[in-house]
Amino acid sequence: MDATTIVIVAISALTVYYVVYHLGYLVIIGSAAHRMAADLAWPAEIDHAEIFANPLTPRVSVLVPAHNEEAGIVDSVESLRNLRYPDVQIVVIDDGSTDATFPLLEQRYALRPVQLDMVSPEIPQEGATRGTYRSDDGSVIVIRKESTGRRADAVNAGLRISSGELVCMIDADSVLAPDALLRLAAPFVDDQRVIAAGGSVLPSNGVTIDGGQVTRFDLPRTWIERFQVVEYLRAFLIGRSGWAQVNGLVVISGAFGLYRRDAILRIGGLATTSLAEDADLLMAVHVDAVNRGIPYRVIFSAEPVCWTEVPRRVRVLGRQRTRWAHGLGEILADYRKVIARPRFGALGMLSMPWTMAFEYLAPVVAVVGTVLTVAALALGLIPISFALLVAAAGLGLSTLVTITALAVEAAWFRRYGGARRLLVLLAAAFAEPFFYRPLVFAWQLRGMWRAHRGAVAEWGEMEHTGSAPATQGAVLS
Amino acid sequence: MARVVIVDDDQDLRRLLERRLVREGHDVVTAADGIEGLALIREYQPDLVVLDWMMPRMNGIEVTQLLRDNPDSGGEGVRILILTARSQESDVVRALSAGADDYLVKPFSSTELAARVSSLLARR
Amino acid sequence: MTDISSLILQGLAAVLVLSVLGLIATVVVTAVRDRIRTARRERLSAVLLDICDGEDLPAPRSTRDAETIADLAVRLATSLKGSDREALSAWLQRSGFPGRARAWMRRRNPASRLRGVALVTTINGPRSGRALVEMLADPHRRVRAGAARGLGITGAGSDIPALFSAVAAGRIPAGLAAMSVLRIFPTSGGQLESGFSSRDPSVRRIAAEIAGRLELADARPRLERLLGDSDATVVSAALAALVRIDDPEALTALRRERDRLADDPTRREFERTISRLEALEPVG
Repeated sequence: MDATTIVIVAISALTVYYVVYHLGYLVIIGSAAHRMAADLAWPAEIDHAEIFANPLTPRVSVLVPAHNEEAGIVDSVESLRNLRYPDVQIVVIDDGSTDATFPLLEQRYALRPVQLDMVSPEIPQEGATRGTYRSDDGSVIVIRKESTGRRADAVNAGLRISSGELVCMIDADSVLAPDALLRLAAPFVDDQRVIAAGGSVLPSNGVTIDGGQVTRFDLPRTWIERFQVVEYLRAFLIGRSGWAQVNGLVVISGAFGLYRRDAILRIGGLATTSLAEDADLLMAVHVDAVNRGIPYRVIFSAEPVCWTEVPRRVRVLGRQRTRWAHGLGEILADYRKVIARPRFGALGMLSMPWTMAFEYLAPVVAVVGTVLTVAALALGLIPISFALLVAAAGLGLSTLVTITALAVEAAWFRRYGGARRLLVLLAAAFAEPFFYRPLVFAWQLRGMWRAHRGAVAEWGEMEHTGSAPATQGAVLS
Repeated sequence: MARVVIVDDDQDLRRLLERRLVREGHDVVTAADGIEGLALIREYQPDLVVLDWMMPRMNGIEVTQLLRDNPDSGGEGVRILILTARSQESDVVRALSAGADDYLVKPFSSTELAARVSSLLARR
Repeated sequence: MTDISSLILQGLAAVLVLSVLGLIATVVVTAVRDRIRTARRERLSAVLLDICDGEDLPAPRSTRDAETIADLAVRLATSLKGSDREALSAWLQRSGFPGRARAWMRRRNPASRLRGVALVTTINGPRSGRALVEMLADPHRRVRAGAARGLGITGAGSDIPALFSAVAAGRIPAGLAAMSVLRIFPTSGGQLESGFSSRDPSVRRIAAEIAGRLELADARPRLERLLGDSDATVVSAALAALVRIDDPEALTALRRERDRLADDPTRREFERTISRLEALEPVG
């Protein structure tokens, strides 16, 4: 076999990889569109009114881990106080903040020291509790604890004293839409099998938030943020809707997820060893449910909205994406026994292998492909027209995937309506493969390298996202 | 006859209330959210406000607090009736301690609402 | 080679252009559709308010108008009670909506069936209860949940056994049934009888919970019998209910059951209940 043949075989293999990836993604988008159409067709007025009014509606404990979150904490708690849900227990865990996080809460809600009952003492907590407080009207509980640098430990501290049958985890810079929790909790009431639910998370950059409510809506100003909007729509909104359709969701974002309390207690709380504690929690819950052999569902609801701030500085974004890739690498290694096992259903046979091949390994394939093509060109093994064809086909297909995802969002939600916004999103969709994705790939490679070396996961100081969810899932597309 | 402002984000409900109170002989204007409602109250200086709790932009409790804290913003002694689906004891307490005069839970009867409005207006 | 590649590239470019056009078309079409829907809703919501005022208007002729009116009525009715709601449901009954609801409940699409269930609930006519009980056997979970909720709103005490047996048959979650039964508001322990004697422990548990929450004093003897239940959650629920009912008469049964227990968490739970009730017992 001569060099030319080898190169042609290799490039053909890469072509197959990309074609499978993009066609697969289009199938996921189709499945998501189907799911959304079915979800939105249900008349929900009576369900929501009755759940809201009934004294037996399950209590939701909302756990808000906060590490130096003075910028967003009050808006976040205000949005929780204004939720259309009858029984919300708000628990803020001040995880060793050194800024004004606690004083702000103390002043705003007239916090007083209080002794709290330990509801689930079997959940471990590493960082010592320094004090527990309750607001004047009882609506807000604050735990001050020493930070261990792990968001999971803060969530566990909240689990120990919260009492809700349902547990919601959000970020301290997240703001929930008033109806978001009711819509996400309703399936738990109607269906015993539902043990976890993810809600849609969208970048709040560009959106005006006042007193915990979105008062004006717009796209962010900078392109680095706009690329992230496109990415969130494609990967986190449409992508996850598609996977939930087959019960194969791999990640529920730590920015907005809802679980049955007993599902979390059965696995002993959140793992403090994982860098991607949100993905780890969902995987552990999946595995536990499969092992117990009971039918269960992990759902994703595209309608509820959590607005969360995404990094606007490239350096901060880089750290976040490195961490996500590192976390995803850990998850894939820790749960490798799920991959390709039929007893884990779509999770084992479809979504985990997909995540491995097309999300985690994508930057490696991209680098190998580029190096190979350039080298082959330089050696004169392939004509330039062939190289251009392969590159153009890859870029074209990926843009096609993005535009299809935008169309699905536009058809069902129209959150980004208006000619100007549409043009901006389209421009971002076309520019993304050239300007944004290579950056993300580079950060992911760095994260993979760290995961591979088994480096101790470091908890980078994150410009008001110190307690940000560890993963949104490694994202690419 | 009195001047009444209705603030509720549900359009059908807003219209139903408006019709009912107009029929009772009141002078009625309506707003669809807290901010708009507050502006209307400042301009119109009503005798009574029917306020929904959960509304976009600013909720009914915040509107109530603002009116009570700055008496010049909405006319002194304006009566406030909170109309909401929130029915828990703690909700009623929160509303009344913010300065509301009366509290009516949805689902409600517009006949009952009209009677409460008359009773509140008679108390001056 | 060049021919094929230019062909592929042209094809891809064409697909991309088409997808952009598709996106634009989607945005335009949905915007136009929204505008039409909003206009229809505006027009019909005025009609609906006239109906709430007690005016008798002719039934809508077009199916689309009828569907929109039904949706609007369902929505409005969740906020109303008393004369407005009665006027609304009387008009819906007169104007052929019960027939439409029955037809919707037979559709293949589960969301349409739930729409039928919601309409039946809003109409709340003489035969609503029976229709909703039938829908508790619907193949789709969410439709069954809607029917259970509808029974909570329209229901009479006589519908309670149907809710309990739907739980025992695994058709609706126990928690949902409890919400609906509580909403029906039984006034005597006798109305919960089918729950107390159910073979399903989760049904016995919610029956005890509801008796406690509504403080149905006449349920005490039934709750006492549940103290010896084989299921620990039922026993806990019965203990909690006896505390709420607050009748020292229960002490005899409590002490008797306690004495049969070894020293375990259940026994300690009995002790706590007994001491709370003893605090109430008149001295001497």
